[in-house]
Amino acid sequence: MEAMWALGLFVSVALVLLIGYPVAITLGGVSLWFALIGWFAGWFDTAFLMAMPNRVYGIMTNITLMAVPAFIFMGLVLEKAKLAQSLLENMAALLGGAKGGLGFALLIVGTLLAASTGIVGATVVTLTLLALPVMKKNGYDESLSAGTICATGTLGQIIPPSIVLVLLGDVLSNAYQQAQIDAGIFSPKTVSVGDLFAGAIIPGLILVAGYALYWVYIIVTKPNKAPAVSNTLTKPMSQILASLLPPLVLIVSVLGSIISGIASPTEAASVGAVGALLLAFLKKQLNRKILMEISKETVKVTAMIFMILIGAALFSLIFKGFHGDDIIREFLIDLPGGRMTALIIVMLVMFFLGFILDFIEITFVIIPIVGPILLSQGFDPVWLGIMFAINLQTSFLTPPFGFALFYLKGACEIDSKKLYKGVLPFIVIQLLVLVLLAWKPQLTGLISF
Amino acid sequence: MKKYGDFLGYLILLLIFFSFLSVLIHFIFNYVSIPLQDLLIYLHASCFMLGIVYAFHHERHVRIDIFFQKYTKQKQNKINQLGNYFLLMPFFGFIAVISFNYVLSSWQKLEGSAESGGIPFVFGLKTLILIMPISMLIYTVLKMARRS
Repeated sequence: MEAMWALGLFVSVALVLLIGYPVAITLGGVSLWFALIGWFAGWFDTAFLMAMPNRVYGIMTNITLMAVPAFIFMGLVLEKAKLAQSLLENMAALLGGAKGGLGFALLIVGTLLAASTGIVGATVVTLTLLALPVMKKNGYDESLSAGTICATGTLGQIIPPSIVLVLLGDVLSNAYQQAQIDAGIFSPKTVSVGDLFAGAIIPGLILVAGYALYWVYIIVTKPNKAPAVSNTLTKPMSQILASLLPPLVLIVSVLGSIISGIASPTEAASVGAVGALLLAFLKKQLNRKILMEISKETVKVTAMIFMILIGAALFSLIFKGFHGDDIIREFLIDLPGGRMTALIIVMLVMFFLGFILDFIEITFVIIPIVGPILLSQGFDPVWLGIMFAINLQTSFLTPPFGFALFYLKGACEIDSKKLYKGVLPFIVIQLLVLVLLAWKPQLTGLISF
Repeated sequence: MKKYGDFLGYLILLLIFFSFLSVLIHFIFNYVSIPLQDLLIYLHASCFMLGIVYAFHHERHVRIDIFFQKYTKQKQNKINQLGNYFLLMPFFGFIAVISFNYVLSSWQKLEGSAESGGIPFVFGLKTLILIMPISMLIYTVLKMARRS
């Protein structure tokens, strides 16, 4: 009977979410109605609700999450500084003369942009507006170009420093500690955002390498899809290097200081934010008005993220009040095939939830429930986090509901069939990388400190 | 609301500035200032707790809009209205009610910082847990009153 309540809560939340009222409020509101009905029916202990103020206070004073506004701020500054535009122009000038050159330029810029801004929607839209028309004009296959844009745009979730990994790091470290305490270990090991950043580098680069290999394959087998550009602008090498250097320095210094342990993610994020401001200032793209726009936008995005966190906190309190976590634990632990089956089921559920829910919501709602269970089965927390991240990235690429596809279609006119055909090879690459990581889990542990 | 947004914007700039300052102090003098760390927490918490109503005003709380975006304006308004009554008001009303004693007891003992030497104003920080839902409730009531 209890299982029905917990399941009913989950399904009702999902259904009401589809109506389209803001996610954070729906999460909290629907859960509350369930708690009320459950209480009348005698199935729900309201003591669980009393923990809510303390949960909210915990969110307010969470040090890890303080990196969020600074990273958002940094990304927005770089976006407003028109970093992507000059990068793309320069890379195209450098590589455009070769067969498929524009494609590689797109890959490089997309990766850099993903790493520095970390905002999927913004990256996909920017690349679509800047790169797609140029590639089309030069005879590149539209389907191939659009697929590449979607795939590189979503890389922002994996390639550090990414906001998603900050959020994931916080949730996973709680889950990891809980898993160890449940197992009777009272001086638990921790997992930090820095660990996740370090672990994500190699898998992120493998993904990029996979995309690049696919482009090589296209150039060899279907050269007419990616022709050389005959009349490229020639720019002096020094100018090209000068435009590449600042974002690279920024990314490397922010990442380097976190991974080497010199700075906490929050500290590094604030240095990155100031660095981005300096960069924008030097490029003469900064004035008072733009600065205020950026900071107000940062407030909105930050508030949105934390509101989801608050809504999800109430949901998970009430879900636990109905013993939903115990029910899921029993289900996942007694599966034939052991922990791998459990992992595959969780990954599949997340993949499909990725069609309707954003990364933030899945991180805050689903991972606190399944995380401790999977971690208590002995999975490595960093590896698990990266698997989740790549899995969700794939979900966002998959037609017909992938978020990245919506962003791209919102920014240009393209036939859906062409777009779907274009992303398909990239989805295959994603799945191959997931299989590779499952086969060689040590790939996420190569860089650490 | 525009002035309110400007105010929050300045808070973010202060947050970035003081974070950067704390990093500098940490590296140059190898010293972590506890009041400064506390100040960062206060700024950060104020930004988003006070910003929630601001983001709501600007329609920035994400929705799952697979179906929503295809609806007519009237239908969208209807959904918003029902959502306000049956989801928003109970949710924020609940947070306000359940947090009242929690915040009150913090005021009664004028709760100070958990760290020695920190900013002795935790009761003020905790008050944000009341201000956030109440601001959302007042905003929604005013908006619905204006519409009808």
